[in-house]
Amino acid sequence: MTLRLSFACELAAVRPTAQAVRTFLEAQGLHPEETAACDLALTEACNNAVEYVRPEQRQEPVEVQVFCTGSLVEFQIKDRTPGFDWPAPVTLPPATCERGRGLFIIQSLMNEVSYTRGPLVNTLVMSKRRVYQGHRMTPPAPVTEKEARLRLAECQHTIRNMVRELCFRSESLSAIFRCTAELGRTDNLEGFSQRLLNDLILITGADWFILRLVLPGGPQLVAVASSERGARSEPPSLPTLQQNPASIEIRSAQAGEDLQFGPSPGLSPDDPIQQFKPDSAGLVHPIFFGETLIGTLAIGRSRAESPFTLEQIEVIHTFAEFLAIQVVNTRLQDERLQMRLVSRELEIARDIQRALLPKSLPRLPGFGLAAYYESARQVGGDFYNVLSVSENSFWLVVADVMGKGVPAAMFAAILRNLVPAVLPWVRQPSDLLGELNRLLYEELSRVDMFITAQLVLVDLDRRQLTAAGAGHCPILLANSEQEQVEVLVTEGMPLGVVPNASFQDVTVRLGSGCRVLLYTDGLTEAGNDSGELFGQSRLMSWLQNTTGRLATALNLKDELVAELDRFQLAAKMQDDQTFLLLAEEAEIFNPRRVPERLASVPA
Amino acid sequence: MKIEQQGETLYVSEIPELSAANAHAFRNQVNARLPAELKAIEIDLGATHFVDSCGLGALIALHKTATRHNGGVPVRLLNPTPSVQLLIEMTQMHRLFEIQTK
Amino acid sequence: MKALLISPTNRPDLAALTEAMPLPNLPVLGQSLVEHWLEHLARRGAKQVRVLAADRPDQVRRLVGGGARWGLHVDVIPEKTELTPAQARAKYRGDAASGWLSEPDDAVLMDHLPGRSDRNLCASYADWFAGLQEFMPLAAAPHRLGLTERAPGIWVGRHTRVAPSVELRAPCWLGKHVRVGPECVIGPGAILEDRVLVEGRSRITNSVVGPDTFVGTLTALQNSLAWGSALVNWRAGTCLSVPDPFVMSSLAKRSPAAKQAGLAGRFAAWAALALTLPWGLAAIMKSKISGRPALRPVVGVRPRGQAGPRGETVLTYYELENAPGWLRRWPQLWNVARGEFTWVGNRPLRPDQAEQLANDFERLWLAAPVGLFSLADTMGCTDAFGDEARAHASFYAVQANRRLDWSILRRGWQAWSRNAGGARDRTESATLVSPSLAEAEE
Repeated sequence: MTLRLSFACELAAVRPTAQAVRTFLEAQGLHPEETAACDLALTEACNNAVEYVRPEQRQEPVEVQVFCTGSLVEFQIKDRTPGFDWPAPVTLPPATCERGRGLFIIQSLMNEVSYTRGPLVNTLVMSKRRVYQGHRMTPPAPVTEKEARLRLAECQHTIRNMVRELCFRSESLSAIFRCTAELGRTDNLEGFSQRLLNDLILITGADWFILRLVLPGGPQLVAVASSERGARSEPPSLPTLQQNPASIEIRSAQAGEDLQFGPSPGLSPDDPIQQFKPDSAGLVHPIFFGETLIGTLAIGRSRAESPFTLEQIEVIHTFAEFLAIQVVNTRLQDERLQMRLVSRELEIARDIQRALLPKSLPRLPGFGLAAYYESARQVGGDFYNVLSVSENSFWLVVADVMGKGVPAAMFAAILRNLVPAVLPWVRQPSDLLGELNRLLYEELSRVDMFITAQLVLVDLDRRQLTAAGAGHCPILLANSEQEQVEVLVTEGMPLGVVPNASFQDVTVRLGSGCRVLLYTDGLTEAGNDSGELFGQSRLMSWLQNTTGRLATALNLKDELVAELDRFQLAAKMQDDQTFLLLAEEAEIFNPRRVPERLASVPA
Repeated sequence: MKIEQQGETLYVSEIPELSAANAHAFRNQVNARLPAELKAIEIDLGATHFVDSCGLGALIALHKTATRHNGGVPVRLLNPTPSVQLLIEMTQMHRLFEIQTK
Repeated sequence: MKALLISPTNRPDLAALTEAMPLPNLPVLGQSLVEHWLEHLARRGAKQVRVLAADRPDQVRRLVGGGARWGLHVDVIPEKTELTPAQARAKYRGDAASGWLSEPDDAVLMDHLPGRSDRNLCASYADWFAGLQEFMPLAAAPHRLGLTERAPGIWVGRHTRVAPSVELRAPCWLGKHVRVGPECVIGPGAILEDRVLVEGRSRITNSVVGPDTFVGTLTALQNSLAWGSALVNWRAGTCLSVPDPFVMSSLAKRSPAAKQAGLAGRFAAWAALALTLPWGLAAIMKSKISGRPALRPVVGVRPRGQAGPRGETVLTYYELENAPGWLRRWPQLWNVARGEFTWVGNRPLRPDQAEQLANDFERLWLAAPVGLFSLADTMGCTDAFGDEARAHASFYAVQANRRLDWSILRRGWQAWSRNAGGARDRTESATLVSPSLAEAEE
């Protein structure tokens, strides 16, 4: 609708004109707020047209044109002023300035403003979008009774629809709440989804559903719940990786999008849904949590006449998403429970393993023994023992079951009990190793594990030791008589590698002030943050430095442990670390150093 | 338009609209009635349905007069209708006047 | 319970942000600052909140309405100046001991975010940025519907689509209805507010992209607060406006110059080209037979802001030189099909004609796209570059809307089909009425 007006070029005529426009706009059903804005903007525009008019053209009227559609109100005001350039952006004058707010007001109230200057006449075009669309519902024209009735029926229909939708939504919300409350009481996921989806088919007016989930540990969609409770096993499991599958559920899972089915396009005769519920129509919705496929939900109607409405599909999505969250939560909870159980059991195992290590080491005349054991995990495969034969002779045993954790710990325990049992029947370390290998070979080879071991028989009377090794780290020997640390390599296959392995004995004399170190490779392979290894040479130089001074075996042990800790700092332990240290504690000095020492003592 | 003196307050009310046509008249009438003993000017916009930029100009002029009068007299705008309040806030006039709504 | 919220006024340190809207309206992770505060107060048990605003209270009121969304009764009260919390208490609370929230929630100056009173947002752009970063985990409260934490420190809102090849680096925040194209790198420290569109292969790090902002392909944003075409470097404190709409622009407003032929229009042009082929070919044959050249190439100026793929400012089109009336333009259907012309626009100008445009008003001619039919055509202007035609072209550039386009198209097509059919007995001007009048008659 267009309204054209013109008014005499004087201020007194502006308001009546604006009033007339206002009446016109009200008749068009403009919202009062928008009418007020238009009124004000038009008044400002007209004021400007009147105030700044060229004096010689004061007799000419000002023309106003209003153009009103359902979505827009547009004004054209033609003025005969000298014109001006529309400022961009329009700014407010200082607060105390009395004038110059008109353009700002127009710009603020209107959506679009343009001002074009012409030789005689300038045109201001301003338009406002109609946001309030109430006028579309209430046409101003009078209506007959019949029309009124029709309209009333229409309104009632709309309201009924809205009420239905509202019921629909509150129904689904309450179903979700109800099921959530139930889930808190039971941890049975299947029962929960069964109940939830039974509610869903009631709400959406469906007849049946099949919920399939991808169970952990298999790329298969396994039917978890379906509307036919007794026939749960009927829908078979489906492999998800199949090429060109007949099943619409797998296609939907692979495509990651909803697939609808119905009378047309129908399902292929091989489709499990077709076999489950022939000739029904419905929807398959793949359930994702993040990027991972949780499962699929197929839901349908046996009477194929009407597909799901958009609202119903939305409700199905909501339910499916909610279900996905519950499934993931339940699985996480189970996992956490499992982890807690396992860690509890490991703690027990660790206590047992600690108890299997010798509680105290034998006391020896003039010699001291010390042992260190630290496991990388809660249970480990390292093991040591000291067994006395007589007052002055004893066995030292250090072994490392290759592998970590529980299996290694179990073999360590077996070995611990086996050694004392075999001991009465052997005289030399090599015999003992051979016997152990024979006894353990079968068990070890069955699980593809092996054990490295170092056995040493020490005879203090003769000041000698006899050693035999099964693929283990060498023994380090140092004494105050020689500069270099002696590396005693004992050759032999690890236990459990070949059935009839033979081992060799090596006999060494114990020098004065001797130190004997048996260790496992966890010690030399201890790493620090920068990837460096502790290494044998570091161990040897440490051992070299200990000779020629007075220290008990316990002191030395603490020193080495401190050295290790300094090296490893915060690095995580990679392997079990064990060592066994024999040291002569009797007072024997390096003869070359004696004079120095004496010299330092005041006379 | 009604202008009355209530104690030391000048109270202006019943202004149907404040536009280019009557802004001058408003200004002159109020200025003419400014008493010597004045503590405040209150302009009741409760009945005002239309104000344009000239109307705002008149209010600002009044504010200026009032600041010079007796070493500064506050001007209060009372009960603006929603459309007038929108205009006042849009043009940042609330930074100048005290606005009271009952 | 009652409470007061005080809107910070006049913060020159955030001038570039507060230019378009008062500080409480600024978007902070999907909601405006004041909405975060109202939500916070509602949780604290407030029922009645007064927002004291000195800076543009009308805009604040338009945003919060009556506060029913939060179950609150909210009044926005215009103030002369920004009050301190103590002043606000004295003015509105008086001695009332009960009925108010406990301090400090009873009167809050909104220069920080709820629960983060240690971070003054308004001290500098850098503080604004840091404040938003710190607020990310707090804003991701469970009641924010549809917001998911995809990985630790990566929040993604409802209806947001991220291409699979996008790399999201924590911490980052993608609001509602955000689209991110392939091979982008978002984060660390990136906040994309609602309805942001990021084209492929862009990188956004340590930046906030405001709502309704388009970020073009291959754009790298770093240490920036980007909103529409405004870009603030928060680290350096510098502001600039990006002139190239292909790098960054606002999606909320569209300039008329950006209007281009839609796909449907182009297909229609293909169809029209095919349908009118006999007449076109006939005209070509006719001039060939009479030994005159059929097609004449013309160079036209491209509209402002629509340079060609290699930055050309001109384009070439053809005319059927000896064809009658509208059929002359028949080859230009090809330009429409190619998307260089639109169906309705201003007629192309030769570069020398473009030079003759005298003032800003006349230069509006080049603000509208080049069209097959123009308003001047339907108005029956005899001189295609006369004063009248210039006025129509400027009017069209400013006033283009769908209604006008349709009416021009209808008339143009009618005239053309009459011409093509050979009926040239009626003059066009007799049937033409000004479009606005025509609408009034309807």
